[in-house]
Amino acid sequence: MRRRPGYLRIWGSVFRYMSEWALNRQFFIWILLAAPIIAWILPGQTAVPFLPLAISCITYCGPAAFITGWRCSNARNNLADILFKTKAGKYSLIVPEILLPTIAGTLPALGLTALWTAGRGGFPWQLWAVIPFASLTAVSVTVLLEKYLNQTGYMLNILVFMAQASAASWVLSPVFQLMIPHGYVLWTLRWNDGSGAAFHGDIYVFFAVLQGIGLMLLTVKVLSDSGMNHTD
Amino acid sequence: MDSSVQLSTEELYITGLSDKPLELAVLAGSMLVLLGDERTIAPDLALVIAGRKAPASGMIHLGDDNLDINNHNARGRVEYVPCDFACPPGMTVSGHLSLASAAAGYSRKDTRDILSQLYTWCSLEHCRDEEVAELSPGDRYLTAFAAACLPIPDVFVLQGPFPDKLHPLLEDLCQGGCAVIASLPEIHYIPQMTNRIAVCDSDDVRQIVRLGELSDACSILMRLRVRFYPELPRAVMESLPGAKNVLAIQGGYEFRHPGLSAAVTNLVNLARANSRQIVGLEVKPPSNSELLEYFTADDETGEADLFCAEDLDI
Repeated sequence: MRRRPGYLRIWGSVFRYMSEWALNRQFFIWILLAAPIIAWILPGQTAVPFLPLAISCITYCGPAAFITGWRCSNARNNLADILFKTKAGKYSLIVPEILLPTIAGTLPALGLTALWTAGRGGFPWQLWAVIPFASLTAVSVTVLLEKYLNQTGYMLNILVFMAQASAASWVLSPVFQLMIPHGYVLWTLRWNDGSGAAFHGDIYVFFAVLQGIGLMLLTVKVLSDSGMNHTD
Repeated sequence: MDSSVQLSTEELYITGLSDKPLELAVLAGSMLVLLGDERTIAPDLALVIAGRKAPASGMIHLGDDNLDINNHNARGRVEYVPCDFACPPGMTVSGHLSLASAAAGYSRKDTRDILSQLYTWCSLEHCRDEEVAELSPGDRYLTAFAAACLPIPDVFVLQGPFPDKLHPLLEDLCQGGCAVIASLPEIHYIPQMTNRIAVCDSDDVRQIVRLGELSDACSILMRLRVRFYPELPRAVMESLPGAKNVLAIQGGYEFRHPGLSAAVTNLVNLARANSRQIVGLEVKPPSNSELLEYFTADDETGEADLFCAEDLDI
C-alpha cells in the first residue's frame, strides 16, 4: 500500500529549521530594516505618510529576509537530502519554504494595515488579496534573481525595491505603477485613501494575483531543481 | 536466496572515456563492492546507480520490470547513504529520523514503533537525543543508514568507508532480499559477506571478481613488515622459507609471502632459532593499483560472469 507523507509534521520541521537558519544570520535584521530605512531617507518621501510606506516595505523585506540565501544554504540542502527522496516529500519542503516567508511579510503588513485603515472608512477587501500576493511575489522575485543573477540579483532586488519606494512621490505614470510589483500594496493603500493611485484597487488585485501565481510557478520549478540531483 | 535481478545496466557509459559499455547486474540478496578511491570512477558509479548523477550515456533499470531508475515511480526503491552526511544545525537523531519517517509516509503511531525498532537494530539508543552534528562519524553514518531504511528500499547504495558495526546490518538486509552496492576506497573496508568486487580505475570497471579470488590475490600480493630485537642480519632474513622481495626498513624487513599463517610460523621459528624477539609485525594489504595490475595482467576478452552464477546456485 502506498503511504502518504506526514505533511504537517514535515511543514512544522521545515518552518522550525528555516526560521532558526534565518534568525541566526547576522544580516537578517539588516535586510528587515534596510528597506524601510532606504524608503525613509529617499528624497521626496515626505509627501507620503510613513505607515503606508512601512506596510509596503514589510510585504517586501519580511519575505526577503527569510528567503535570501536559503536556496543554496547547507540547512536547505540537508533537508532536501532527507525529503527529496519522494515527490510528495519534495513538495512538502517547497510549499512551507515559500509559505513561511510569505506569512512573515503578510501578517505584520495586515496588522499595520488594520491600524492605518481604522480611522479611514474600514479595511478594503482588495488589501486582503494584494498584501499576501505581494509577499508571494517578493519571495519569488528574490529566489529567481538569486538563481539567475547571483550577487547581481541581490543588487537588482534592492534597486527594484528602491524604485517602488521612490515611486511614491513620482509623477503618476499608470504603466510605471504596474511595472513595479512590490508597489501594489502602496498604490492600493493610496487608492483607498483617495490620493495618488492611477487605477481602481481591483486592477492592482488582478495584477498582484496574476504576478504572484505566475512567478510562484517559476519559483517552484527553481526550488525543485535545487537540492538532490533528482529529475522527474 | 531470491535470484531476481534488482538492478541492471543497459549500454551504460559512466564517462566518455570507456571503450565498451559497463555491464552490471545486481541480484536480490547480494552485495557488490565498487573498489576504488576518489581518483577512480567507483564513487561516481555509486552516484549514477543511486540516480544522483547522470551517466555519460545509457540507462539503469530496476527490478525485472525494467523500470528506469530516474522514473519518479522508482523513488524510494533505491536509497543512497553518503559518507559526508549532514543535518541542519540543531537536528537530533530522533528529529532526523522522525522527519525521514514522515517523508516515508509513516503515521505518528507507526513512527514510534518503527523508530524504536530502528534504534535497537542500529545500536543508536544511546544517542537518540544527541545532535547529529555532534555524533562520532560512525554513529552519524548509522543515523543516515537508519533513515535510508525507512522507505524499505530494494537497493541500497552506500558511499564508504562505513563503520564495522554496519556489516551485520547489511547482512540482515541481504538476507531480507535487498541488493547492496557499496563504494569503498580500500580493500580492508570490504565486509566478509560481499559477493562480488568490481575493481575500478579512473575510466572503467576493470574486473569483477569474487571475494575468494580477491582474497587469493591479497595473500599473494600482501607485504609483511617485521621488526626484531636485536636486529636480524639480512642474510638470515633472506633464508626465511617462502619470503620474496625482502627489503630492509627501519629496524626490520618488508617482504612478500604466499601464505600468512605459514609466514608467521616461519618468522616465530626464525626468531627463536636466532635468539631474537619479534617486536613488530604488520600485514600490508596490496594497494588498489597492485590489484588492478594483478587482475588485468593476462586480460582476456570473453563473456563476463555477471551474476557469479556458481556462487548463487542459479
